Amino acid sequence: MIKLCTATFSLDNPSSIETYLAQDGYHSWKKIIRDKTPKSEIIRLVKESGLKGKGGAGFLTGLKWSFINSAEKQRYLVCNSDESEPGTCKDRDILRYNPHAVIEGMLIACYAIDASVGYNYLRGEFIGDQWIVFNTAVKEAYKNNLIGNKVLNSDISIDIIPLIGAGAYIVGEETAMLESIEGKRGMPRIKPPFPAVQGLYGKPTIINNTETLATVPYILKNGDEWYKNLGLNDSIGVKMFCMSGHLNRPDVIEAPLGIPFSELLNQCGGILDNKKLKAVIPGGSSVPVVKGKDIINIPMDYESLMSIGTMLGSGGIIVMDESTCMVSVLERISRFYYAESCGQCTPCREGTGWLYKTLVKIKSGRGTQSDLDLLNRIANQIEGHCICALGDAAAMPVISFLKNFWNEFEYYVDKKESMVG
Amino acid sequence: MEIFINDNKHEAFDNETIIQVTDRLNIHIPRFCYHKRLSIVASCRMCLIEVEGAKFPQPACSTLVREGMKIKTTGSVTEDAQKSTMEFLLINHPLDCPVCDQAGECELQDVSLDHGDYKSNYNEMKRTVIDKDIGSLVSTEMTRCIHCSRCVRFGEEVAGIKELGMTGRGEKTKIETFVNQSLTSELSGNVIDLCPVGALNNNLYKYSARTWDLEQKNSISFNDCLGSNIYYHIYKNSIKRAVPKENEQINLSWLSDRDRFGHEGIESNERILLPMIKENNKLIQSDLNSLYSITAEKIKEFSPNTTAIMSAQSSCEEMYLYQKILRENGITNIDHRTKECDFRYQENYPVIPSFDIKINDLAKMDNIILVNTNISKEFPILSIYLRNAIKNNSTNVFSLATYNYSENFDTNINEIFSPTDLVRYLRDSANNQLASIESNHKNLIILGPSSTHLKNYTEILNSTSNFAKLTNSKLALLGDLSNSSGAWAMGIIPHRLPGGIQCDKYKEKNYVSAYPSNDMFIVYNLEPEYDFSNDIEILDKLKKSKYNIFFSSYITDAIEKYADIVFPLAVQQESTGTHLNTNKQLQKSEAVILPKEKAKPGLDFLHNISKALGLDISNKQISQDISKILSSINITDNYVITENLRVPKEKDILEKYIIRSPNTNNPTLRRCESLLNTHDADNFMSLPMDMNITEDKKVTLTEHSKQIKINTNIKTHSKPENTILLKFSGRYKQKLGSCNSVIDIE
Repeated sequence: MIKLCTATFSLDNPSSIETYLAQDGYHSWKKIIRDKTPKSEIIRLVKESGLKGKGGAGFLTGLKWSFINSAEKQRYLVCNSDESEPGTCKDRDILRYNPHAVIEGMLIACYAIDASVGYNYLRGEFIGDQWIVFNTAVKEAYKNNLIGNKVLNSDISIDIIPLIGAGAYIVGEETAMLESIEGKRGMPRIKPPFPAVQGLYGKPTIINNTETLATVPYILKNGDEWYKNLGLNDSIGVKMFCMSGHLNRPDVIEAPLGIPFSELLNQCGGILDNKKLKAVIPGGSSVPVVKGKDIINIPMDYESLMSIGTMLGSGGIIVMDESTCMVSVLERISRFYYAESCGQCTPCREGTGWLYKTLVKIKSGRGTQSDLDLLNRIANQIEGHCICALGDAAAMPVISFLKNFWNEFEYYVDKKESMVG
Repeated sequence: MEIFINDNKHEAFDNETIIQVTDRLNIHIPRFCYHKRLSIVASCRMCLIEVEGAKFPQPACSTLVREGMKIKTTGSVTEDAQKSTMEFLLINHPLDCPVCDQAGECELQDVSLDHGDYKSNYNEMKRTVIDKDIGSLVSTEMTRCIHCSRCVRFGEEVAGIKELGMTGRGEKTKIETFVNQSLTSELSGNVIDLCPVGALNNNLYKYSARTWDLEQKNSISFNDCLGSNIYYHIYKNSIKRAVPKENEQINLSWLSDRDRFGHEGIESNERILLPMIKENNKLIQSDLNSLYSITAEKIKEFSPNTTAIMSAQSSCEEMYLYQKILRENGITNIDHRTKECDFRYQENYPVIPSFDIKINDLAKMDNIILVNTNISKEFPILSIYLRNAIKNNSTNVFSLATYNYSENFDTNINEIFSPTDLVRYLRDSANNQLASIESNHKNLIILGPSSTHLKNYTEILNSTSNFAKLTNSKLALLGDLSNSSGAWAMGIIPHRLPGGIQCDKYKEKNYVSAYPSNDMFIVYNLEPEYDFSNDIEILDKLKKSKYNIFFSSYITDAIEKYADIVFPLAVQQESTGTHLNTNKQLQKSEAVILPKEKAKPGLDFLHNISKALGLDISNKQISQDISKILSSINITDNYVITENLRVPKEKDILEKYIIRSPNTNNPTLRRCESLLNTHDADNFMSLPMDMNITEDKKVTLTEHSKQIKINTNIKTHSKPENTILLKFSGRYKQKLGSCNSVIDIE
């Protein structure tokens, strides 16, 4: 079994610096400081490893780093730990059990893009656990002179500053996060300009997901070829899959990309009570749902999931068995996006509410056939018309649920009750 | 570069957005959040249009043009996107246009008509939002809000005070003030114009007319010397509201609250609407013809022992004719500077005191020094230019004041002095913070009307001018009313004829101390209680004088008591005339409404009086004379350097001085209830502290052995040192006393 981000998970006292150092942690960072590795070399290595952003969009990390506007002297790195997508629970474990991998990844990224400060923005709900653990880890690293002024007696100075959010999902959107760090209301900015050109406080900024940054030290240590070959078949690298729903052993599993879905299911002990698999949302609640039979033999990687009309997203896999009422699931998902829309742009502010209200109506038995068409129409009117991806995130489940389970919705509006009882 | 709009080739420039190009070409794209003077947020999504090559329609307001870009402002992609945005905007917006005040000028209504559907598919509950009380000027109906955030951005970017903001998320997003505060900005009324729907309304106008019944007429502002351009909206000969008329040289697209709400006083029940004469100690109705002949008679009888004072709000024509009638009949003691008390500077004053640079050029200045000037309260429109200068040109702003003024921009240095210390500081410029101002920089010193009210204005002017000369700075002299510059040019000063020609017959020091036994007063559009630096002295003189002629729009106690005849003066909005603003632009203001009842424009009265005196001069002749005078004036710099000044002693006693609210600076403004209810209507008096005054004591002023009780508590104030501050809230009827009064504390 490969273990990158999860390397320390099963050890005693997993979050302490001693544990991490015992696992040869900070090896890459110390090497960079010692060898004064050229920044371009690090970016090239990350680029060639094929590491993709693990927060959802799957953009090539090394390529993103190379976009940094080098004309500006002051630059920033932001680590996005505002993990709020329903179904996703990987970053919370990385921050809790392997915080030093995140810190090392942030340091390497800061070095590569020449940022003097790296912020780690944790979601508000992490205040009780991850916030404390991560802060302790940062203090330990400062104490060991791995961060701060003149790191390891070199002429490099980098600060890592943990920040905590106030509980808004939208702040996970990178530009909304920048607004929030600046002390403003968390609302996405219009792009362009992209953060790599004009980001935090108007300066070039790179924003990466926690898991992405936690993977970086392992790539630097073992090389790009090594990481590339971790994936099965044509896939590149590894990914953490957050297995939740009707499973015997819900878990966060680090597995090579390209692993068949059935294999992931086996690792979680199969479907709860030996029921039949009905549907899967494979990348957090915002990606399109697929029928169980369509995904069971599919290798879990970006391209294969795209071919069945869905996405890998953040790797938050929600498994639903045959007893699940799809109308109820969609109503619940819609409520989430209705509550979390920032309220800035019209289609999302008004449309998410309309979707939710219509689904509540259907759920309560007051719906009609025309409401189903209406849902489809509203969702299509939101998609692609908003400033950020939250509008799309609210629309995609609606479109896919209706597409895949139309008969179940039709049954509900006809019979005023769920098909699955 | 070339771009294609609806398959037609058009020229566009680098860094232009699509909407800027189409606006220039007059191609219509609907929008709500976009405003040419605010930042771009692209949040309403109304301007989505088809761009070839893009998967989804793009917002025209934020998308930059590219070489060869092909966009379509019509066609199914664009129309569907716009229709869908419109549908979303309307689901939670009340569809009760007939009872909405904005109907007829509502952007949502207009765009809906052009781009919306005729029916709605929305059958759920609509959102309702509780209205907020955000002050006496702007009323709210927040359920109608479509969250375009123009008002929020206006506060942040233009007014400089973020007073309105968004709270809540998603559908529950609300626009409100921070914890139910009211708006304090002097520019707050502009959010009414910016609001595309009926959410933020003009409190004065609300429910008083329908927009399609209104008639729009051009005018200018009479409340400060900038001369902002205004459209008055008239219904049945009554001004219903004021909105800005765009003028790129003055007020851009904005209007100060004073100009927007300053017409409320016209409807006051204190208006004088009949000609009146005193009989048996009572003012009774009279006919105008007899008043004309009596006035002519009295002018002859009491010449030259007459003092004639006139408001700087009067038009150039009124001023020219007024002084002509009087001077031809031997009366030379003519003045407009009633709020001032120090006149020693006058011989060297410029013929037209002015801003010296174009207002637009403020943005090019390196250093701006404000000498006792509260830009954001006294000249809100100037504060917009100043903020832009700071933002775009990193201009340094120094504020030297006698009171802790709040400004809506950042000042580099903010010093508070007593008036004498202010002079000392300016004289000692080599050894203090002013030393950083170098003569090879572009420097501007602004001296506002508040400094003219001080007892040592001459010294301030002198030391400021010396400093300006030393640092090669421009000196801007700002007056307090619409024709302050014109009053100097038109000879409404004792020592100069129109055009700045020295007056031979002039021998008096100033209008107040001129005649110990003054025989007659002619008071033109000034109110003895409120418009004078020394109200007690002027009331005393009016009482002792043999005859008093008043031209006034409003009745006051003093006018009732001391006037022998009263001409019912029409307000400026009811009169036609020209006003010379601080940038020496002569702007014409037409009468926008007819005078009420028997009130008449001042020029009519003056013409009739001049006829009764055998002097006949046509309006055409007056206009010709005025343009001749103005073109004959040689423009010089504004430096005013006077000899033989008082040298402040080491331990000079701090003067008592008054900080007047610009919101009460003329008779009509004093009767605008809604403006008086704002914070900005407070007057202050600064007193020396060395009498051991503590808080919670009542103050009594003693003047000419008369006592006036001031019903206010003492508010101690740390700066200037050793002074206390008395606050007179809101009401204009408060007597302020003079700078020379003795103060007793009960």
